[in-house]
Amino acid sequence: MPKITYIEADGASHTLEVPVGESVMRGAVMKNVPGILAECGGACACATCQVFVDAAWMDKIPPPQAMEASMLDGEDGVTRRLSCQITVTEALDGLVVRMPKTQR
Amino acid sequence: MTPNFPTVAAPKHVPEDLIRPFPFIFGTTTEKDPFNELAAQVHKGPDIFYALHAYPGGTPAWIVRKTQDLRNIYFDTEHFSNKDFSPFSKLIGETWNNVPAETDPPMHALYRAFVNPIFTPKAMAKLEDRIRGYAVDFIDKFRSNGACEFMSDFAFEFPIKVFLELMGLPLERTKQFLEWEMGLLHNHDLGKIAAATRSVVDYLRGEIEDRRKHPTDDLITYGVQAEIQGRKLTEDELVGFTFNLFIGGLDTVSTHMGLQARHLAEHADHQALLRANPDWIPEAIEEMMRAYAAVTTFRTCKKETTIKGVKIMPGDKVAMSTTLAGRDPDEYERPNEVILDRKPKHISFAYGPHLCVGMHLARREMRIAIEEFLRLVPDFRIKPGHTVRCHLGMIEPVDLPLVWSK
Repeated sequence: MPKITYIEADGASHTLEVPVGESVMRGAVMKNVPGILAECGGACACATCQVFVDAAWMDKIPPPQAMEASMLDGEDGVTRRLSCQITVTEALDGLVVRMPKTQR
Repeated sequence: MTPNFPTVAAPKHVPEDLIRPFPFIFGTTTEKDPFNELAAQVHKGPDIFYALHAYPGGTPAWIVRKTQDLRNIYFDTEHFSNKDFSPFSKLIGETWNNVPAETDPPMHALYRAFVNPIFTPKAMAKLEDRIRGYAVDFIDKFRSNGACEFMSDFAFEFPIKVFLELMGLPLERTKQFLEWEMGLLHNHDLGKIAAATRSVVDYLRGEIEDRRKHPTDDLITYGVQAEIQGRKLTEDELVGFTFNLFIGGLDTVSTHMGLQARHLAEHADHQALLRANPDWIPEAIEEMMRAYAAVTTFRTCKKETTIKGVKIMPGDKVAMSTTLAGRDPDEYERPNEVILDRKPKHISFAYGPHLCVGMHLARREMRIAIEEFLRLVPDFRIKPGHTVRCHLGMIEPVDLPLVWSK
């Protein structure tokens, strides 16, 4: 099972096994990792599951669709994503995401 | 107060023992405690039941009281439609839907993508100082009086000021907007709801026409200039978009501000705690949003389904009561107790694809309101002898006179 490392804003690190097909958001929420709120439950509607994806992984993750992009303030060249929109694949084994200081 | 409801018979698929009384009827008021008493009472009954007058105007709707069932419905766009979640457009014989609230997949995603950029956390953070300035202005007007009527002196006009500025609508018309808003949301008389709808829609059409000729940087101009799939918005889409902003932006923050101020006025210990620790206010607001959730929206069944073994047929309305969800004993331990650091996962901004698009603005306004009120006003309480009366449907204090020592 792919392993994903979630790093909280204060540096606390959680490496979790997340099943292929789950979202990066669900991987954290199912294990109660703090820092990801996901208030809408994974509908790409709340922007409270933001993560920063380490640059090395960006080319393994499809770019944001229009809906996700509409909540990311049109920032180019930034690695901020909504983790509910990143589907876990074998290729993401070892992925590192960092949580922002606040989701609201 | 028992309004003159239309006579309605339940359809045949509704079991008779599931037709039950329901307290939260739009346009009625009560001196009972809507949360600790009325919501708690509903939670002693069945998981799902049928109320004959729960939809605005006094027609029937299913009541689903459990958070988990509501979460499922929020995501079930196969069986439940958002069309007609409010009565407004049909009442005046028009064809628009609130955009994005009353739209379904696949169009809903396109509408959300068009509205989302306006309300991102980052876009709202830019408004912080201006919002704080407005809050201070309002509080400064009454703080030396030792008293205020919290709803009319602060809760209604403060969020409206922010909203009207975003919309590019004239502040001088605040009183008029408030009157229309009361007609739309706190009324059970269909004639009055229709008249208010007509006034708002005519007004918004005029503003839309004006922005076509004189574009500015406001949200109405944003709508007029926006494109969806390479085309401009239709007339109906523009009316629906601006009407949705109007009903979403004018009432809900005021309502929750009033309910939160009432809690603090009645709980001196919580007031003192937050005054001494303003950093706790954001978490306290989340708990108060859970405990004092005001909003009920509706879904319409479009394909036969069952909830907890109860048959729901196409055309049936389902009330999505965040008020009930917040007090669900299966979801929250000691639901009728406000525990400021509970950090609840609540659905008071809804859940799923239709989650409140203005959530980040609403949170900011509520936080700033409490921060500034606690900073500028000493220990306050409800005026002795006053019994708080609340609107039901959308739960909101009719008035909330507060006093403190000068």
